[in-house]
Amino acid sequence: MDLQTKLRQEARKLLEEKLVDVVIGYEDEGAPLRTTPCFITDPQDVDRLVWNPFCDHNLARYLTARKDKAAVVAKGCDTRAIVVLINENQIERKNVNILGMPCGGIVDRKKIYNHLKNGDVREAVLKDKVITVKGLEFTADLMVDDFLADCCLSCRHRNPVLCDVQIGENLPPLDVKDEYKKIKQLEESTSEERWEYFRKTLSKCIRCYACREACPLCYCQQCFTDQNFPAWVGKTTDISDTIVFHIMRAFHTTGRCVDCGACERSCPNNVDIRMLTKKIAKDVKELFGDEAGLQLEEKAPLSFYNEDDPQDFIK
Amino acid sequence: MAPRIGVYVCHCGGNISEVVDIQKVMESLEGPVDVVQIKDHEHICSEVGQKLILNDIKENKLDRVVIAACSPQFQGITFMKTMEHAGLSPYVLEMANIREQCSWPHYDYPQEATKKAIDLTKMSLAKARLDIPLEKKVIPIGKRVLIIGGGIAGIQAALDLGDAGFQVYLVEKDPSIGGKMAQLSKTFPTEDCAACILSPKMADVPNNPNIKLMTSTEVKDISGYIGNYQVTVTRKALYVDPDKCTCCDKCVEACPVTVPNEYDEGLTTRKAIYLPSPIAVPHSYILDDKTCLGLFPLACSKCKEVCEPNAIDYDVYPTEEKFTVDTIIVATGFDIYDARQKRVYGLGKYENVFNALEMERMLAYAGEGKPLKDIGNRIAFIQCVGSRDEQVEHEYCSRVCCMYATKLACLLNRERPGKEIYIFYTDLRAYGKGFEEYYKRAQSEGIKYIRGRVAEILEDPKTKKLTLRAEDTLSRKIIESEFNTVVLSVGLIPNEGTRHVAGLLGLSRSQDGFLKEAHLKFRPVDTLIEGVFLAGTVQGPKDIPDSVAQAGAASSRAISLMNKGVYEAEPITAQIDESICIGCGMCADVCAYKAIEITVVDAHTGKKTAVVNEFLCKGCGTCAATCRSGAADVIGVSDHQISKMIEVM
Amino acid sequence: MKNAASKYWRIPLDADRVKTPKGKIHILKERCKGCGFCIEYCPRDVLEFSDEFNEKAYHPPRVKDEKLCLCCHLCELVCPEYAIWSTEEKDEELHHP
Ligand SMILES: Cc1cc2nc3c(=O)[nH]c(=O)nc-3n(C[C@H](O)[C@H](O)[C@H](O)COP(=O)(O)OP(=O)(O)OC[C@H]3O[C@@H](n4cnc5c(N)ncnc54)[C@H](O)[C@@H]3O)c2cc1C
Ligand code: SF4
Ligand code: SF4
Repeated sequence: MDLQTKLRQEARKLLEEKLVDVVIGYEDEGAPLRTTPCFITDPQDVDRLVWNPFCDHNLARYLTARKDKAAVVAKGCDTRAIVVLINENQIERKNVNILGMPCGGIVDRKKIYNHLKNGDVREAVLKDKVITVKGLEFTADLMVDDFLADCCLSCRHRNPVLCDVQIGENLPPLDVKDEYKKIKQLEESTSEERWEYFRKTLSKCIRCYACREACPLCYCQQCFTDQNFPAWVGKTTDISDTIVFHIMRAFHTTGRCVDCGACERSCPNNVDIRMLTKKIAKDVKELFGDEAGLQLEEKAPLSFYNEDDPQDFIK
Repeated sequence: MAPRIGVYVCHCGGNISEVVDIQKVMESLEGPVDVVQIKDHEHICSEVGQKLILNDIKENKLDRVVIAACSPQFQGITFMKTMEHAGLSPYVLEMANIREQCSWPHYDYPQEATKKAIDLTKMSLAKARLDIPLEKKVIPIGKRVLIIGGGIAGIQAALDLGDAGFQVYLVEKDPSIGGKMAQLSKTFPTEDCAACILSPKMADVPNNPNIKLMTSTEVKDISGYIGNYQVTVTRKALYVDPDKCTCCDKCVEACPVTVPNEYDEGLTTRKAIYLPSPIAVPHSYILDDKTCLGLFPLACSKCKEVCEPNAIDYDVYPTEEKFTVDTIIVATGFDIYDARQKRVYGLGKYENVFNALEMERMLAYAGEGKPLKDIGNRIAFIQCVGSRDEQVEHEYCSRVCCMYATKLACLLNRERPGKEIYIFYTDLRAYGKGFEEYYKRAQSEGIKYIRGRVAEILEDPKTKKLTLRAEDTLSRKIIESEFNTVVLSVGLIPNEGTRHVAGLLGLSRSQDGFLKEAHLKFRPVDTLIEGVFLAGTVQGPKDIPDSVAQAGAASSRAISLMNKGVYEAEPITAQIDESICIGCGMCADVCAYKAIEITVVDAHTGKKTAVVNEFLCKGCGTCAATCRSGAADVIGVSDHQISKMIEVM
Repeated sequence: MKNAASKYWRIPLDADRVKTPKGKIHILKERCKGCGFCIEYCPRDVLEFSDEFNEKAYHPPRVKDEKLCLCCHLCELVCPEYAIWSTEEKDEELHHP
């Protein structure tokens, strides 16, 4: 039985037995290369649920501020986000039912568009790892694996780290060659080059806050960017403001970001948001040996002090 | 209504005015309607100056005061009192430090200094506009003290406080009080027998009606704040009723289990049921359930069979006790450095290498005419083992080793004449009262002091004699000589119990790992936690006289707090904007004072937010810096105030 | 001696002067039904399963280190088959605890 069928079965069971009030998953609304989050409350609707490499949203986003019991379809990275949310008091473990999906990676649409030189995709059909895309004047067969999102290429947690029901067998760990290749390149460049790089990518930001909305961990009641008493950061799209916004947002993810890549995929202007968050995750891992969202009841690495914490920054 | 602010710019008798153009500073402040008056003064801290402020507050109906003068660390308190005299909250006073932060360091740049003075004063003005007239929080405070650790420091503090009529809870984790001093043979420099001078004091403890002694007890949890510390302790099960036990020793004879005796540093054995030491207080046998053959199920029960007064009861369990105290004295003492880590000295490998505490015990036995072992005639002491040693990360001097080695050497020498005793030292420190004289006497008695670090010790596997190789750094000769016994003068290190208590109370530690005092010079027994004091070696290596002195100091600090009946706490504390807070708990995690708890504030919606306990909060602002959404802030130094200060710069 | 590796590494200097009872263990192998109670409960960890089979095809216990036995008789008490017991060696020979 394929995973999608299994998933639907599991969802039906949960709803029929009234173990949950809602199942949060993905559905296909017909737009090519996409799925949409859906909220299913009636067991009869479970066949709307789909599971494919276009299920790119991090549905942990929808778990905060709920009072009902929800089942959620969650990939490895999504389950890590859920763990962080539980640790940060945002969800109660007993109120979520995690349908864990071992995930071989999801497709980054933008890579396909780039590949097609922005040709307008009208239709996409997936069959056995091959996507047949059709536009007005072209048809092409593309391999899923050639268009995986960057974060999936260096994914170390493809299987759920926490779940109530796991749909399908565990996948073998990915042979990640150089998780931090791009970061290392950036680290090795001169400060002028780095500045130029960040200036270039961050000046594309139009302050739409899609990244913030997509991020499961950006759940603050009032974001620092929205505050004006005191106003921590200006509201313009001038580079001086966008850079402060992105650096601060990245800092706020320190020790929390699970590298699901939702922010970067949501960005309409292709800002390299993950370069900041991934660099911080790398530092946290190197300095404190910590990876976010792997364990319940784990304290965030910056919220406690150990005697052997690195201190070389104190000069 | 706009505030009415009065500004004073001080000349500080030329200290400021010789560099900073006071006139310009005053002119720069003119304009805003809320600045009601701007005055300068030669010495605003003088009595005349203070009167001027008092007068102006009354006449001009000032409700904020800005003083551009010296550091608030220096005269802040003076002016806060002036504010109080005038009937204003001391927290609507702002000081711009245009001396230490301006005229002094920028002496050679008067123009720039003037500019900076203007900036600093304007910033204070901006902050003053948003100041809130905070009131000091008054906490009632009673007369109950918790003393953790029953070494000489804890005992002394308990007796001082008990005699003064305070209710003392003395908690000791071991079965007897006395600490390390109870293990010593004699004490330098007077060579009083340690047990003789200590045991009367130990005996006074249970006899004092104001002291509740709890031995074999550990502190499990402490919460609350000065005047209201909630303490939970766990009391081990001892299985022997001290009221019934007649100390007949029959159970000991019956008990089949032998284990190393802690009191003798493992040099002798004890049974699983035993008297902790001959001078133990409380003086009763106890059963050590960790080494007993077994109580659940009962494996042996030989002790109970022979116990005539029926004092042994196996059906007892550890208990928890809770009580409330107003102040706490931490006197958890020290541990000795485990010299096995210094492999070259062979402790743990060679049977004739001892640490100093073992030698104390051997001498105590020898003093009673029951030597444990013949230690031969040639004895070497090696100083600074685990002290002043960067390799083992103990850079500090342990302060007592030079003298205790001298003491042990003298005692050994006198015990049986004909001994040759060498002390290998790096530097000899005889700083205390009577120490230098003692050292001189030891030399005259024939103890040989050799300046040089010992490189290694080798054991003859057959004779077990030790060959010691060292360089005499004074004569630059290599010494290689055979000894019967080597004593390692081990340093004092912070112990596990202290770490535990420091964690419970959120006490900070100095670089060396000992607990940190609030101010090394002026508040040596206070900690940064209100109502918590330090006594004895928990704060750093020291000898008995210093430990006792510190215990006295700690108890008098505690008394002076408690005698007032109320405690006035700073009103500058963290504040949570509940409408913004999402209860992520980051602030609670980082708060060193455990002042924040995540609490359900709306039962209906289940909304959780951070809640600050204003008595525990020290206003350090760590939560404010941590909170991602800016919900946490510090009243009196708010983000808003600071951003306004930055704006006017 | 317990704790040997931890803080107290030395054989106590009075070790040759302290006397502890010395137990001798007797096992009736054929009675044993291999429940392992004696092995499990022995506070001194004196016993272990042997490799041999008895008539009933169980592994009876065997003595690992008789020096450790303090003759507390617990094995005797817990054995459901009365297959094991200890007696105290009365010889006055001193031995290491
Ligand atoms: C070998 C040697 C020789 C010395 N000779 C001399 C000398 O001749 N003259 C001299 O003046 N000084 C001498 N000293 C120094 C002297 O021992 C100390 O100054 C003194 O013992 C310090 O007493 P204290 O109460 O601070 O600590 P301690 O004696 O260590 O007492 C601390 C007590 O607290 C208890 N405790 C620890 N943690 C907890 C906890 N979490 N809960 C409850 N209880 C706890 C401990 O069990 C202990 O009883 C010598 C030291 C050494 C090592
Ligand atoms: S019951 Fe425990 S303490 Fe008592 S004699 Fe037996 S082994 Fe010793
Ligand atoms: S860190 Fe901020 S948002 Fe989080 S609980 Fe504390 S005050 Fe609330």
